[in-house]
Amino acid sequence: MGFKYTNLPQIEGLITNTYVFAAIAALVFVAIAMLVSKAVAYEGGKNPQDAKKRRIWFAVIGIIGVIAFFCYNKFFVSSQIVPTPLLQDKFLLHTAIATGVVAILYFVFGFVASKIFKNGKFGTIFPSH
Amino acid sequence: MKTQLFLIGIGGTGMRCLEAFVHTCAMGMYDNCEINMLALDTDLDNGNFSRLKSLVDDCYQKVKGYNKEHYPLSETLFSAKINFSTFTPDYSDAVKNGSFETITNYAYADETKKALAGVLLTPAVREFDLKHGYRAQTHLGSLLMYHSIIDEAHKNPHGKLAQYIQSIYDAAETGDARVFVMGSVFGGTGASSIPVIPKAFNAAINILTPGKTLGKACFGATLLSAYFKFTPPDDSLRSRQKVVATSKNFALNSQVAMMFYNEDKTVRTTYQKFYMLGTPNNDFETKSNSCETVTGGALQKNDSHYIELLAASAAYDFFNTSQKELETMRTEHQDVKYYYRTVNDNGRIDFKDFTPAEKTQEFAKKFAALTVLSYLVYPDFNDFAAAAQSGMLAKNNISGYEDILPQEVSGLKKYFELYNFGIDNEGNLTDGWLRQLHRSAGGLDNFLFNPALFGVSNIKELKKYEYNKKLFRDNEDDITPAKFSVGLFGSPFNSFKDEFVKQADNTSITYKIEKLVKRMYDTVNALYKF
Repeated sequence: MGFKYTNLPQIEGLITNTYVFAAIAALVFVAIAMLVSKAVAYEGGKNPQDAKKRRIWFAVIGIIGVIAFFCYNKFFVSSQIVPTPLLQDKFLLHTAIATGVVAILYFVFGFVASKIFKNGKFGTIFPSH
Repeated sequence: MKTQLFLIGIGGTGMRCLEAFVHTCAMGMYDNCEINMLALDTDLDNGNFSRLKSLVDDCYQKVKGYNKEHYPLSETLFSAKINFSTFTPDYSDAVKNGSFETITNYAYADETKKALAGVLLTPAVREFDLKHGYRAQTHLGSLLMYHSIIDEAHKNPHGKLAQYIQSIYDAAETGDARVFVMGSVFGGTGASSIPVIPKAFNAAINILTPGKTLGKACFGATLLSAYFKFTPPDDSLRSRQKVVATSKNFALNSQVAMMFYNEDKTVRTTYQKFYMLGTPNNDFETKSNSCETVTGGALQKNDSHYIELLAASAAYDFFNTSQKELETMRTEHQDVKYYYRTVNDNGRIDFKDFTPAEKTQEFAKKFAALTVLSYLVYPDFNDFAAAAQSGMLAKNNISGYEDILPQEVSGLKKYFELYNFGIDNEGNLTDGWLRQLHRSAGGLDNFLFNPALFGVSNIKELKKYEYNKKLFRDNEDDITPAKFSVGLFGSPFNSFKDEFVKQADNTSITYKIEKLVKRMYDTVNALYKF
């Protein structure tokens, strides 16, 4: 079987790419959350629930995104590394850290986007008031 | 020269015409105007009188600013400033009923005066209780109304009526005073008073300020002929009440009245414009028609009719007549002009039926905007004004409305309940003014807007009503029907709030409630691309 990553320098390159991919993934998940937010209609009345719905969707997209990122790296990318414990364990460690980075960046990007678009629907997820 | 507008509504029909006029003010048809409105009725407890007072005092005035000085605005709803007065001749008597005989001390009159009264007035007419009005006895009504006004000028020279008449005089002397009188010609109070109002006011100003007259003021009036009916009185009621108006005489009363207004020299030289309005028949019945004839009081609360909006349109036409034309009619021709309006034979009422051609699109736009706001403000599931006032919109970064007074928000909500619909305890819609007008036109798609607007009967249907695309009728030929899309997952409220966030407050408006209304109005205009 032809493995794509067979030595340490290649693994280290892969790890770097994984962190870059983590940042991009966080941005993409935030973009998806913004689209879903836009689709959640404003509600009127004394107790509108639309902001709460958008927060729930933000959380769900984040959770799904984080799990998807981890699974992608654990099962797909890992399968392309030669099954040497040293190389596999090294990548798995950084997969876990990168997954944490996705979660943190997702929250940070989401928070910043909420403040930039404070007058729109996404702004209701982290309201100023 | 500044034009001063004076509007007088007389009797039950006059009250409903004033109601319609107030709604046109709410639509924003009177930008930068100050309207001096007088409601004149003999029946203090009359249901229509009470409804008008509630509409103005509890609703319109609160929306202009609760306990605040009001200012005319432009390009918004509720733009006109309304100065509202009422006058009710007091025919109540602590001991007996207030009849002609009691208020004139008939029992102590000499034989000549009694004989003269006997020629003009039957015993039943002399004895019936005047508390509920003149009951179509116009020969009595004209006499009593004239003298009530004169009496009031003598006894109460600083009262509301005196101030109203004085302001007509002041306006006539310093500017351009136009007085428009609204009432029916087939009933009691309106029919009695329309002919004598200019002369009575003229005599009153001479009492208040000797030597002065209202000669420089211009007068116009609607002459509304019979357009509704009510339950005829039974024999028991007739014997108890002595005199009872019956709607089967309305057509005859109207015919005779119209002949009078066509021939009488006094009214023809006093008024400059008469607007003669009516319907082909008087089959319209108020929805809450009781089994017993109602002579007056709180139970006399007739539903509104589109003819009253036509009367308000007549007032609009009069108030927008050029000063030169009115002056020429008053000073040179010295004869009144008669105006008529016809509508389609098929019964369909269009926006163009209420306005001159160049104003039709504007009227439709403003009427529609006011109607859309009723869906955004009144139902609890939208309640936009209350949300703005309570600070709930702060999550959407919409703030600055928290210092709107709760009374102003409740006034706005109550206005829309009277304007379009209310919701009862079972969640069913009750008819406000607009829906009553729709019914009076025969329902279906006969009246101005899409029938889907009037077909909503409960909260569930109300939540589904798509006012973004089912506001206007599809087959309009006098206006461009407007609509907007809400997208796959959206709703009209969603689109409204989206657009509202993008609009800015008008910095030239002082009060927050008026700022909010203006911003909502601009939002609706932007959505429909009016």
